[in-house]
Amino acid sequence: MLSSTVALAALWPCLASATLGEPESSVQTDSERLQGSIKDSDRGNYRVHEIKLPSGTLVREYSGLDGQVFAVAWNGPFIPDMRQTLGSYFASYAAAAKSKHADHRHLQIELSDLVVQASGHMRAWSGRAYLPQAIPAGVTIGDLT
Amino acid sequence: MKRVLRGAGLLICLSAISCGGGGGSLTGSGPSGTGPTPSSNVVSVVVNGGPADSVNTLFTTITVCVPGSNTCQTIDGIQIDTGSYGLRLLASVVTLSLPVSAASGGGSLLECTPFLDGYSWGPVALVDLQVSGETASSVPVQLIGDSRFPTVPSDCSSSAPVAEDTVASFGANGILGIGPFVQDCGSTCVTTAIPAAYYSCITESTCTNTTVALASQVQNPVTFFSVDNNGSIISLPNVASGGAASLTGSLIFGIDTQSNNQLSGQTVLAVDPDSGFITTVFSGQTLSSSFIDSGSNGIYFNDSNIATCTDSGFTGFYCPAGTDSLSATLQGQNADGTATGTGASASFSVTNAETVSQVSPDFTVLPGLAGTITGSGTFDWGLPFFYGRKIATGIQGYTTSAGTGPYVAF
Repeated sequence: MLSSTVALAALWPCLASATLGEPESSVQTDSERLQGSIKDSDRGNYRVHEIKLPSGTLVREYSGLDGQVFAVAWNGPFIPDMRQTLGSYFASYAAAAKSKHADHRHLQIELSDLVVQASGHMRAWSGRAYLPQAIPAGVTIGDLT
Repeated sequence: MKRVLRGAGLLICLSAISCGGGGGSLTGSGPSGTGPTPSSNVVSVVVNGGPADSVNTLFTTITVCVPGSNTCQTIDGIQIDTGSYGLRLLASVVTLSLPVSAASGGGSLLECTPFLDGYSWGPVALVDLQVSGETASSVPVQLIGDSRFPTVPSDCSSSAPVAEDTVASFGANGILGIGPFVQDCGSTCVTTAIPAAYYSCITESTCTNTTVALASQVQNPVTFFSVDNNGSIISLPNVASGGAASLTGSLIFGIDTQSNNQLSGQTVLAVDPDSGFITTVFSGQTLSSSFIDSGSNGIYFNDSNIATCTDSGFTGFYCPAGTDSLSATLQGQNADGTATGTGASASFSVTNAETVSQVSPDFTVLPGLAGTITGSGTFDWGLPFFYGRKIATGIQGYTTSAGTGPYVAF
């Protein structure tokens, strides 16, 4: 248990290179080193890599056949590192959130090139971020959960 | 509508007689009349915008003291939140010198609290708390935006879009988390040093993620009370569908411990002991990531039959032509996410968010405010659900005649 936690902690920054809008990194290698903590599934015109963080939160990366990550979704007791998750899109996420502020339980950012939606309460959060112009044909937003 | 849209909030500031500045007044100026007479376990609560012009946000007044002393301070504008655990105060409103807790590995114990809209950074400190006639000694609380610890670790600032370390950005002078769990993290933080949670800081800018014992975590102060410590009840009067300027009700501590906090006729819903979720059955869908939350400012759910607003300031909110009257069934939930019990039905209404903000720009009580929510399995019963209801929250591991927490009952 302890060793797998250490491995996860060490690998997460590496896995995070599979950030929104960036190429899918060496997920297969990482999967082997993580000893099953990544679950891969092939859904035809896209792939899903699910990573379990040490906090218990599940992060799912969606990549198209071109190897680009077009969406990331998460759920669990802690919010994942959004800077790693969003990569170069973090700045526009931060700027957009400043101008649209509701309560502490919801986030809805809809830009032409980035959508971030999240909700939940303490100990149980969920959300997703996606690039609306990069979603492969045949994939619906409802698939990104 | 400041907390819906900052720009609209500025309009309120221009048109309202008073804006910002002081904390939430307990008396308000609306049509709500006088609240219930306080007794030893009852504190008055109000929806009135508070210190940052927030809609559908419930506030109260507390007194905090330096532990073991008579050096105390009364603070209003404290948000009542059943969706979090523990007391957090904006350091800018605290005039007391409070002792910072020590981390287990040495140094000061600091915490990052990532809410979705922003992160709050600051030390864990101990206070004695007085609210209504209840007292709690040496409660671990978070001081947000404490100038002694100005350097935010990078994993904390990466956890949410912006810092919420001022009254204006946080929306309150503090937040009193009285949801159905005890600690804000729980056993995970006892064994694992999680990013953007607890830190050991040997200097103000040298902080590392740390584990923290349950007793040292920021936690629900209700459990510290000597008697009325098994939960709480929020009781708010009904409000007309068009809303109101303010609304006054009561927060009652304890369940079945006094004559004024007996449950009778309420349906008890067990909440998932890990997530706090219940199950909502709405429009033929079973939504297993649902929750009842006084800290949400609207009813958030998905219904493609209701028009969403077109004004960019109201993205994600509903704007039906008239008032939509809807109903759903709420059920308890087991640890495996399956529904339990027969549940209870609840009716609610959805009004046009844009129209109400134009017709009644100074209203902070908007019972029909509703919007969409992420994902397909979620229904968030926010503060409008509390209007006209008496909703109990039973704390995990504490027993009442209605059962052992965690549960909610209405």
